[in-house]
Amino acid sequence: MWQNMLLKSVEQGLVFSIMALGVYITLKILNFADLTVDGSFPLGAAVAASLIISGHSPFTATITAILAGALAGLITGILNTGAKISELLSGILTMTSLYSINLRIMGRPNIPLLNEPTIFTSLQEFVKVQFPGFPLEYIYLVTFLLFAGAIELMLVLFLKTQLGLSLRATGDNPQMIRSQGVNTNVTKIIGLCISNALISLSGAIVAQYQGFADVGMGIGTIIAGLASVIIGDALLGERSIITSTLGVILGSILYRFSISLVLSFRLAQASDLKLLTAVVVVIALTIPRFKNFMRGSIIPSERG
Amino acid sequence: MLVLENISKTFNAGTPNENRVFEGLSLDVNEGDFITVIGSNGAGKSTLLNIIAGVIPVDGGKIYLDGKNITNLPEYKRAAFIGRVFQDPMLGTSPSMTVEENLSLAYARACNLSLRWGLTAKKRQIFKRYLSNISLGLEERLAEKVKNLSGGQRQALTLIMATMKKPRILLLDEHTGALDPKMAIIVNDLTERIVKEEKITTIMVTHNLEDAIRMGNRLLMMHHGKIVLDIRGKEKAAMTIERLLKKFEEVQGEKFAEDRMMLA
Repeated sequence: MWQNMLLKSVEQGLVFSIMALGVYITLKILNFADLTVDGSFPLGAAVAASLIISGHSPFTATITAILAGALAGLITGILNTGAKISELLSGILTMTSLYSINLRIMGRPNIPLLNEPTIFTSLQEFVKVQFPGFPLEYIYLVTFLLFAGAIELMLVLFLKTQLGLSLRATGDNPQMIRSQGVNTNVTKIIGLCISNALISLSGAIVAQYQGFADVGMGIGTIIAGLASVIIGDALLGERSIITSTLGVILGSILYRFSISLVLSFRLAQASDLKLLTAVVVVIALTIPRFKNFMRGSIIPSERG
Repeated sequence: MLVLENISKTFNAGTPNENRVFEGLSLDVNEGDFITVIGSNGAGKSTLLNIIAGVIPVDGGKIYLDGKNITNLPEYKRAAFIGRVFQDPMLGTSPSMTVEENLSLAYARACNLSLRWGLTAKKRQIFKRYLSNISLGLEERLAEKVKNLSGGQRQALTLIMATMKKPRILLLDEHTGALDPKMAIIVNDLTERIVKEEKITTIMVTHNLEDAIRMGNRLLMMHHGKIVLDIRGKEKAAMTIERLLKKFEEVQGEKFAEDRMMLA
């Protein structure tokens, strides 16, 4: 049972880490508090599930979900930079309208995918033929590991390009990067598109992994993403882009693990999940302060 | 080359805090000018630079650069031909990025939205050469985050970033104002050297009268949004602080007063 729990939480941690990397882009790179997340995550699931049940290939469905997410980011970006609506409100507006849009896309609140072809059914067949001895219970783990790794690598490389540097400078010092000839509205929109594309991709994979898309599956996604980023920060710090993105993935795994740990002790029931998430975030955010407080009380300050 | 024609600007128009900074301000900057600008508090020195850079839109009047009307060009587009260094050492660089990453953004000024690598061995060589010119040891600290540099080092870096890709015009807004005296001298020397070597048309706002008289070929004194003195050539070369203050009193009929102005 323990082994199974560990496997499940690592799997979940990896698949949700793609979403957390999206949150990392807006929160840490662009310094933009984007709340579109709670809408763009189920958007990916809705688009992928609807296309799959209407007979499209799961790969087409997943790629379309990525584009839909980028579109959601584009709208938040235009609301913020074009219509000059605040960051928070722009995200909330897109997120809220996405709830209705997701229902429209799905046509009903829930789409089961249990007997539908998904990227995993195709993958299982591929592995059965090509690597007959491969233990199929690890297929998700390996796939997600490759997926999260590939996306992290692409993100790290992207952030080393001239455009990537401009994005980082936009979050760090917008005045400076404007005086170097960069339109910060454009960099903000590009960052929001990439971020929400990743979040939507994560939603599309999660739907195929858990076997259904649900209109309510996005609630609290931003908090889970936030928790992963903060835990990663506490674990590995902000030395470089590679370590901090790796931290986000580790943070996501650790977060899923701690949640399933609490649930397995029957200290809480499944419906307490969102409350637990909030508690984890509060703890992660206050630990550094608590450390300082302890240090301050042990080593007396200079004023005495 | 740079012409300001009849510029007017009012902040908080129609409110009790209405502040009319410029009413019909005109200025003609010649190719190769190194202009120092001094003036009392609220004279509009920084606003002048912000208007030229496009940070603040004007209410009326026109701005021409090389005969082209740039009055409505947004800041990021003007950045292609305007280099800037601010008073606050925090403003000109990106603190959580490294020295070389900051330089890379300046090196690709106005063509930063590309997917080419930000850093290459060739670029690092170029950056090292620029940094070894200023003798602050920064060429050994390319991979250091800029937030770990001192204010003076950051200003020197900003100055390099502003001039690396030669701008048509360089705007310096009291760029040594927040530095300790020793570092201020180093940054001022560096400024003079770069401006001379690269022959960059420059406008430098300063609160140091001595620097204003010693540096550049033309001196503007501003007062209540007007250019009250415009001294150049031989007259500028023969100028002293006493003569300058006397001249101001003659023109304005009042004593020159600026809390932060350093007389020596």
